[in-house]
Amino acid sequence: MATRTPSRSYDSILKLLLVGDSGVGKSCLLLRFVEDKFNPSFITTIGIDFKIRTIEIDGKRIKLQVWDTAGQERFRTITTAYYRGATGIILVYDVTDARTFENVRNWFETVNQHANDDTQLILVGNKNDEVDLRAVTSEQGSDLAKELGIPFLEASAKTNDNVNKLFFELASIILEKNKNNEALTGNNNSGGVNVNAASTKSSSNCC
Amino acid sequence: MQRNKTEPSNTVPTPHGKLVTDEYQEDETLKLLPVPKENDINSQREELVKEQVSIDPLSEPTRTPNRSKFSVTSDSLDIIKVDVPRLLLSPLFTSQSIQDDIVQILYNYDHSYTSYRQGYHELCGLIYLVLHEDSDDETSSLISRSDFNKEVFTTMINFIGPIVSQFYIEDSILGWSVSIFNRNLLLVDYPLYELLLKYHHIETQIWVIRWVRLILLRELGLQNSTRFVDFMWSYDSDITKLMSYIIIILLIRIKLSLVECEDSGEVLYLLLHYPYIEYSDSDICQMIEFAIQMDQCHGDEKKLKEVGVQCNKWFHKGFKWEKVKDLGKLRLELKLKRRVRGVLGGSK
Repeated sequence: MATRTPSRSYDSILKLLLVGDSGVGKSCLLLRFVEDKFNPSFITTIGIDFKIRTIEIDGKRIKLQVWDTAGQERFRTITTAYYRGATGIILVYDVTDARTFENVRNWFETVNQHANDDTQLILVGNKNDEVDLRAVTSEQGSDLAKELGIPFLEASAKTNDNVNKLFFELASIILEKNKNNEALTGNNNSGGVNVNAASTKSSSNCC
Repeated sequence: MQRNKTEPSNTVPTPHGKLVTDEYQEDETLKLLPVPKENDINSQREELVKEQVSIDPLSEPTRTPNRSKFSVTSDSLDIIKVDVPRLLLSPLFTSQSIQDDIVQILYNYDHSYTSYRQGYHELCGLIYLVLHEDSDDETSSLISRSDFNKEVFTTMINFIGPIVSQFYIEDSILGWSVSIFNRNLLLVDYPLYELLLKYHHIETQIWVIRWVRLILLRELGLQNSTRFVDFMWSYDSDITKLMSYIIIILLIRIKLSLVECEDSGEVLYLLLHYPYIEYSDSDICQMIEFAIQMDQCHGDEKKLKEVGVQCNKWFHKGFKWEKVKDLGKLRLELKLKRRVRGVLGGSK
């Protein structure tokens, strides 16, 4: 069960980031996940885009803030602000473009430089519907993920294959990790993970 | 934006701080370089793989003399080729030949000026579109395709120079966000500044980068954005001059929605999905008028605050904005009003 509009009540907030080369389909994955739509020609992301979807896991409402980053913004100090407080990062490549797969290692390094140590990563090979154009096998993806020590799956924003699974699985891993980590379960705004935070912010004066 | 609207300035600043004289723009012998074929790029790439480097090339995002110019251009060309088919400003750009033209113009800009950055393609598309629409049937039959592309290229050099130096260079955009935008917001509308930066802790550069890099195209839509740019360009050939004030005015327009947001995520969502409306000419004139008034305050705190209050009153009537110092209180009032309206509506 899930809602597709910004919701006003939730048990936890998770900030997730989509990163990867330009054109691998980050924005399409996000659009499919949040609005259940697919558009083959999608405008280039400049800076970031941002969408919200609230999902339910084990009876808890989890508000996912998903940040979609521009593929060219890899080395910029401005990206530090994007990574701040991210609890999960989705590394995306295009299974029809070997160069985007080769660049996963660079993205992995960049992410490790900027993200918190406990940020959960997941590797995703998008466009798995393009059987005839495939340039990266599932085994290659799986082997790389094992080497990097992160989960892996292939997905297709076009056919909606594994898109929900991707986000639910990542959110579940983060929640599970944080159950066992008391340090991250408090009302911790600065560290990023704010799992089990108060359900809604009070209406106290802001100024 | 109109064809040959402004006198070209004598010099066009480049992001690297060098100045390019306008002789280049007026050079009738100017010839756009052809885009290299895929095979040429691949053969060069193989050579590049073998090249020894003394520094980690991944740590250096900008072009340096140590790097092969071709390597940068070929990498840029890949991204240009990914971006141009995603240029959706107009159905015009679905034409393969026009896409090829845009690729060639961007490739030449990358080659002669600065490495391609995502966003240049939309600025180039905007210029292409405006010049295309401006050329009536009579003139278009006289202008060859290559001459038209040259015109787009030279207009692009003139037009995007200040935008690139201010908003695409990383240190500049960070500096602009903090030293210019935040400061102006603080002076024009302190409660709004406090709401965004102190209460929600939203760093300006995160959301403003798209607003400024695409000169409000995504926020206002093509028609509105073009009209704003026209006004800004009429005021000063450096259109970045009024940009911070225009954005502040646009924020004031959605101030009540910003106030009502429950958390920083909702605020950021709103900032990145700016509510679209079609503006009338008089709306735009008034907003530009406010921006010019702000610019002409020359940093005078009292005057800026006064213009800010006027602007708030123009958008949101029925509030004594000069007395509103606490947007938290305002949020409670708005909530209460909404509930009362709900109760009254339900009881009818």
